[in-house]
Amino acid sequence: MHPWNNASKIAFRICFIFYLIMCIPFSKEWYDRLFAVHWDALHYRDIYDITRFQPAIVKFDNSNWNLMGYTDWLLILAISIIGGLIFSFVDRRRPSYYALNYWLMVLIRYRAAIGIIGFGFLKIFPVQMPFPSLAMLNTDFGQYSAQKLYWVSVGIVPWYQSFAGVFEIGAGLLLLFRKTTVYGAILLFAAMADIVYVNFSYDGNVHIYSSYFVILAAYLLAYDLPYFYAFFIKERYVIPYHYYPSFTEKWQQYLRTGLKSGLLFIFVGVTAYLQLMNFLYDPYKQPSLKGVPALRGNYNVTFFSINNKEIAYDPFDTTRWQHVTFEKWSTFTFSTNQPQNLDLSNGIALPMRDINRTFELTGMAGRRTYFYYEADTVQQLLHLHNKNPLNKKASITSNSFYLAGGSKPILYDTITIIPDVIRKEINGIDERARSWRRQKHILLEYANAQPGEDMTLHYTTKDGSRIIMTGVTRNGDSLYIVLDKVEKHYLLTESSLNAGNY
Amino acid sequence: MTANKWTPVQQALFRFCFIFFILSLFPSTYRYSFSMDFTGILMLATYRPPSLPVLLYMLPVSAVGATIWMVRDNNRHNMDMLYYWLRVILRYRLALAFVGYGFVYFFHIHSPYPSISHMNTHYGEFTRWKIFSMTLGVAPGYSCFLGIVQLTIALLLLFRKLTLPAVIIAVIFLGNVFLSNWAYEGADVLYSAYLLSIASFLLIYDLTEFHTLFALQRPAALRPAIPSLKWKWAPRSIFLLFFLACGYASYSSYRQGTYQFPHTSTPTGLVGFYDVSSFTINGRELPYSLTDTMRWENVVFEKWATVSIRSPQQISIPTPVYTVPDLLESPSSYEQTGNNGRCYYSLQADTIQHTLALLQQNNMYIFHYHQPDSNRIVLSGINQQHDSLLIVLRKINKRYLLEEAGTGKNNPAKL
Repeated sequence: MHPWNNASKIAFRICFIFYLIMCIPFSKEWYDRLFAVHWDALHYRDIYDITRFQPAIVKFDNSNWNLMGYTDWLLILAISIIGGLIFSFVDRRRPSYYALNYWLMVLIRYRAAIGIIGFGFLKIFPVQMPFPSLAMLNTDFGQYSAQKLYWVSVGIVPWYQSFAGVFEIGAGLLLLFRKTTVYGAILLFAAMADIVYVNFSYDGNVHIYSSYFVILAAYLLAYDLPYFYAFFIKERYVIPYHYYPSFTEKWQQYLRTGLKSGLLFIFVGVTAYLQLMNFLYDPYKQPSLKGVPALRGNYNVTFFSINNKEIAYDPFDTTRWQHVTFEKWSTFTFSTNQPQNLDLSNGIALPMRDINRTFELTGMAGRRTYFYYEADTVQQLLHLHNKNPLNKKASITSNSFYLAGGSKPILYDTITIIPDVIRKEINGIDERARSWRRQKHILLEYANAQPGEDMTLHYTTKDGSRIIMTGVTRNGDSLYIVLDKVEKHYLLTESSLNAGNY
Repeated sequence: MTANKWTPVQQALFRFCFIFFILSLFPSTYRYSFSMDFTGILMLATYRPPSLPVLLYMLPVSAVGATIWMVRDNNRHNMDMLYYWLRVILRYRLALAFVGYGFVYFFHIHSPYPSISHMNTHYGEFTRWKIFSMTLGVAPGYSCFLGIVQLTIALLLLFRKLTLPAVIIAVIFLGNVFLSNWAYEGADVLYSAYLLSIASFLLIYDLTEFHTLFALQRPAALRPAIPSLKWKWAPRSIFLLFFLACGYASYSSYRQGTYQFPHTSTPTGLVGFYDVSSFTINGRELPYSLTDTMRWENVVFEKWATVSIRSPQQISIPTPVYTVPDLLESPSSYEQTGNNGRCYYSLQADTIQHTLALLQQNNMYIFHYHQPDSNRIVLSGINQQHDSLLIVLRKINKRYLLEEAGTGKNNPAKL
């Protein structure tokens, strides 16, 4: 057990404060969220929100898009340097920090493990990058943003995505045990360094969070680096020194085992179950309600008349519908030659209502209009609501915890009667995937909804090969439309691993 | 592994690996030219191991060989030197592979930025590997990063003492390459698995010591010293020369533009995306249609001499099955393989006679063209069946989100 030189001691003290700030949640919101969790009706996001935090001192409008996000780190570093120097002055007699370093590494290991396991479960049951919808398959390659292209390129290979999840969770599990920490740290470092670079290259916006894991992993590897250098490169005999706490008391051993099993139970066991339910019945980036089975598919618009005036097919017409899709979920789309408002966000928010789940339209152009529909299959009516959030005055995305009323009970003061459609939407998914969070957020999104473009159309079809739609638009124009189903030869075929139950 | 401590099992396994790896060093074909041009050099760097059936054949051969060797030579208990030499050979073999691919990625010449035709092809009309390649193509910075990683591995592998860091990165990197090839149905599943097996073999040498030191956190015994060799600078220097030649060859290819697209040119003034505003066949004008497979929808003239035409799909035509082209396939079929929705023709233009010939293996068009203004091209001519055609193309200044989406607030509001 060697005493440390002054430089190492000062460096350690700075690192100690730096990583302490990095690994302990300091924001009030994190604790508010934690205490608002309804443990009897969990949603996977309840746990995910606990696993996902990073220090945020300055709130930037746009830090996700540029290097400004790292400003927080520089501030924390400045604080750590000042703190570290004070620490050095106060504690200047101490020869070494083996024990404190051990506990700091424990903290970093657990922080990194819980974070990466939370991340990994989004992929192991692949829901983070969904397989493209019909409308997305029919959109030109050049009309995707770079960021969207990267995400969808992972979405088309769900098994690969799932393996990436295995990799991340594997790294996390290895970090939870002292003897396998080195392997976990190497895997974490490699995987996250790659993701940092991907985010820079494709204008993704999780470069800060992935860099966060890189520097956590870097600290875990740093201690062993001199030994590595001495043995493998200098080829000298080395005796690695490590401090281990000894838990001699029975209660200490019980506490240790209890804490560890508890963490494993919540962040691996419970999370795995919740993610599986999410994957099977309610993939969070896809609408969750089933589309009308008879209608699903691609359609050519064979006949289109507005106010009894036929408009012949012309790719440059701005009124006539072209290329209709009915997705397997509650989405109906058509294109016109009318420029659309673009939403280029990456959809990190977690909306619960189908109308607000917009992964299928964000980050893409292509002059397509997206509608969420409620179908009345008895009356053969489709109630269509425009999905583009930018066509509304404001949109609620459920991203903000406080907007969602914090931990207040479900029935919100503004809602007195829950309409049937909303009740239907809440109960529209399999019982096993229902949660307190989903129910509450659906009500909130409903209560805060802004009126957008909507219309009700009547449809008739025998078997879905031809659909006749009639109705009146919001502007009072009457429509008569004939759709004929087309079988498209996609080279991009669906995988055997599909999220959702439609 | 200390001297004279080889157990019989280790010996048998080692002899098996030795024979297998040595046999697998032979290239799959001998069609290699030793010229100084780009493809020649990169062909050499990225030469493939024997094909899967041959490799599978080699497994029993190696087993038999190892058995005979064990029987004939059962007194040798120390194979340290042989092990050392096998590692040297495999280090160079692996470094060679990383140099070839490293430069190709570094100069991003393998996965080019999508062509105008590709920009106007639906996402679902591509195969997985094509999407993978084009997605890499839109981010040259990422390709460059992957190149740097590979070149770093290659250079580290030249030094015995730096082999462990090199193979740690290599195993993780190749593991991902292998899985991507498998998931995206790429061409290199076997090749990456082969390289992964070499990297893993090299990793095994250090694994016990690594595990003892950093997992068990106990001291590990030093390995027997490798006697210093007189000529050890020689292979390294030769390899570095090759490294530079490879770098230069890739750089000159980068200067010429990607080898995936032809190095020909379309007369200026024609390049662009065109709507087919009028289409007359044998005097009969066909209106815009979603179902008429005779009528063209739109036409792209690439910067190089390629024309692609979009028509409604024929429902009777089955989905084509594409095989993935090899790296450095010549001439490259990158444009037209891995996607449907558009028909690709090579263009022969005569700007003096004002004629255009669109050629395909089983199809052709001959046109006389004139441009009444800078936005229109009028084509008159015949197709393969001698139908007379009169086609008016109208240039569309298409805006692509891929090009216009900036970061943060610089995004287009509408498109």
